[in-house]
Amino acid sequence: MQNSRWIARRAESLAYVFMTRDPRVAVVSEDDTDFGLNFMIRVGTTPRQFNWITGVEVRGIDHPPRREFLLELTEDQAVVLNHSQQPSFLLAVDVRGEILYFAWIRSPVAETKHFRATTSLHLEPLDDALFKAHIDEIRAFYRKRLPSDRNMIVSKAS
Amino acid sequence: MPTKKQTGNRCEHLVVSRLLKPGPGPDEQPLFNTALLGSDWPTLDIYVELEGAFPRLKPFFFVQVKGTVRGRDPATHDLRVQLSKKHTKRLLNIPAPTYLVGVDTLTEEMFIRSIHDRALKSISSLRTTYPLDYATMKLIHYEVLEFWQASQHKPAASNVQV
Repeated sequence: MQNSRWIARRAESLAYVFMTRDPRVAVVSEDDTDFGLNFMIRVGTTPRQFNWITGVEVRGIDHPPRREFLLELTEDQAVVLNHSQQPSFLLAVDVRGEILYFAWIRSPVAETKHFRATTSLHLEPLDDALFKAHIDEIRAFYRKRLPSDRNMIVSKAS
Repeated sequence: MPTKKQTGNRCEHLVVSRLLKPGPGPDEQPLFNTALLGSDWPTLDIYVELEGAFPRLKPFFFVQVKGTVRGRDPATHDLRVQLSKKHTKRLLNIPAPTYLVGVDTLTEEMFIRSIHDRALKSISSLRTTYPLDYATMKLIHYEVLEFWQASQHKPAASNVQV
């Protein structure tokens, strides 16, 4: 097997397993096209949160990365990201050390940047607690945008 | 709460990530190459090829993955996974090495056994003798290679030969 194929496959499987340790995360789709991100995940847990979707791009590496990660995007991926409203993040996976690193591509809180062919991202080593905190941020983003179940009931009553 | 399908997919990715794990040395490569077969193949979950240079075909085998949240039997320490009569028979009928991997979804421990004994009817639990670690994977690599080296890969004749 070519080294790059092995690295990509193992990175995707390790990322899948890591993300789904959080019971609020469900992988909705896996994509192998050149324009989509690797995974679309759902971070909502009730029927009303069905469309709480986040994009995940996975990059495999076979050595620990530098803090600044140059994310190279295809032209189509940049178009997808520039027209997307959803949060998205990068998981860089060291396939030998089995260590994951996280960076926001489209943060749920910060000002959105314009995506080009290469985008510099700041990586942070990831553990279960930090990942949970990032999922909390995404859920807070959607909660602000969408009326919650409780708000709907209150507004109906009033 | 993840669905049964999501749990199944997770278990398959756990097994794939393990099968693609390289050896302990700094530049060692993995022993296998894998392909997930998807839900269209109910009995087989993963197609696995041996890595290395082979003069003829790349030796391969199939894996059926079974996950459990019920952990181990306290008395026997066996993993509580089951394989029905139907699936056991189907695996036995495949003319290639076939294995069952049991996954404890809570601890992420994985154990493997071969499905080759024609007397086998079904499996009610999985012995934990062989964890799916690098030492076991080397044993499997060796036996699958031996199987294909001893087998005839093509029929001697055909009804539609020209």
